[in-house]
Amino acid sequence: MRKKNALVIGIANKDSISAGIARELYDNGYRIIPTYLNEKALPFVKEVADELAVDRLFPFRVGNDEQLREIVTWLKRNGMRIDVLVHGIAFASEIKRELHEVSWESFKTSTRVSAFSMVEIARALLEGDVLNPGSCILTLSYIGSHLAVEGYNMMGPVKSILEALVRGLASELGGKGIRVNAISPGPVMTRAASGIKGFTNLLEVAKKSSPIGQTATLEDIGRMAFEVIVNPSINGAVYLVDCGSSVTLPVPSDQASSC
Amino acid sequence: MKNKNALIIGIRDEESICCAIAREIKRAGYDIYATYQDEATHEGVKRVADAIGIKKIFPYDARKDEDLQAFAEAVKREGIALDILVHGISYSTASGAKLDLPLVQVTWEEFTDAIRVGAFSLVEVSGRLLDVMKEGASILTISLRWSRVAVPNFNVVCAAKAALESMVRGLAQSLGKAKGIKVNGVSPGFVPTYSLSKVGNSLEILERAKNRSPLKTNVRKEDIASLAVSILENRSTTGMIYPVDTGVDITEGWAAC
Repeated sequence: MRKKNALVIGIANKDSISAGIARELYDNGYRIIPTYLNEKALPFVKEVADELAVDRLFPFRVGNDEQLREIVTWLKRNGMRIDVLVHGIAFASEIKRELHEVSWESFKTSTRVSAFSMVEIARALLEGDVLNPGSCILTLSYIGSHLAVEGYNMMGPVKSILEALVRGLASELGGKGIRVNAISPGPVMTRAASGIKGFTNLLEVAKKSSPIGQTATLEDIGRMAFEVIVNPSINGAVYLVDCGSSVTLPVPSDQASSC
Repeated sequence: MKNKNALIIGIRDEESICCAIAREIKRAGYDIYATYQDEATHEGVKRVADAIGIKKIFPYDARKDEDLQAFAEAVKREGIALDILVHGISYSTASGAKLDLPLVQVTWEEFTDAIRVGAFSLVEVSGRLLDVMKEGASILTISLRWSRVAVPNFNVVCAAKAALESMVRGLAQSLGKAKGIKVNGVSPGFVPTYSLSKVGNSLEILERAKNRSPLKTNVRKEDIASLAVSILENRSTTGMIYPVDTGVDITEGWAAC
């Protein structure tokens, strides 16, 4: 049987959620084609790539169409097509500001990198005719799209945009048999997360509000992502994997609050 | 390796979603126990049980206190420690269910019947069986998009599903605290079941769903089952309702008209 190919965009280092998903795909027999942001990130991405027997790494920065074309050209030259696109990139230059302090320039850039890039990458793969029918696009979101999470600031609305794009792409690409979904994991300590103000507290709050008293593991996120990727009946969905922390409103008992 | 045990409530026949889930759970290496609603449905469940290799079936009618009592005691007597509980009871398949009625014609008794069978049974069963559930066990129920929309003449079912989803969150909280138990739901698009045939012309409903799906496909029962087992075995999810509907839910009807 032909080996299936997964283009994974969004690995920063071994702790990245995209890396967890790539590992799960690799364990299930997929060939992983990862990208890296720049030279600075390369050694960290390389570390992950070596584990996954990757033979080719591509540089990719959102907005650089030339880099996308290179990926497409390489795929075509090798007679390869993409079965899975993992989109796990996000960026927000003014993440530490309150929403009302955020500049339009920053919001616009964040929207492009964190949300619209999924459309641009999908378009490049479609135009290059390297996306297989029956393939699946998976992106990563966060519950901040539905709740105002302190410290997540401008990324909340950006993730809302991303989730709307999931539904939009899913409805547009369904005719080609392409599915589009998102996983929305609870907080995980990644390199990207370290830029969020008070992230350690967020982890603590998530753990406390989880009825099972834990936060999501990279492995469990990877497993759910894999189910979504291979299940032909899942489409246009955003799957939360957060140990239940977003469905509860913990209220401390009188005793606890008087302490 | 210690025995892994699953209890499945909601098998009616080979077409039941719970039957597909049972097959998948069996494949994942669990011993399975199941229930049947009453004597009228015993034969169908027995057939499924024999085909899949279900260890034992217990009678349980979600309306009857004495059934719940006897069933819970029987499970305890068997000495089964549960890893998995699947609840797939739908009010529409209950004997004598009052369906196809505008809300204004529904009596209070009929309404509570729908809520007890279609929703509160999840609370009753998991509460009664808490003793025999293992630490960190997993519960899964089956909902429907109807929990969030109005469906003419079937709003009783809608209310039951809305209650059911709220109970998933509530039980996730209380059972999570009590015993680290996870509670989730799947919300599948339409599939051909006895339940579907009770709400209308199955073929028509499925055809309409297929046309609304961006993929122009219907949901497959084996995909629901595969997702169900993934959720049941995933240690990082609780309190969730996962749609599996080939994208029907995200489409807006007007463009297709």
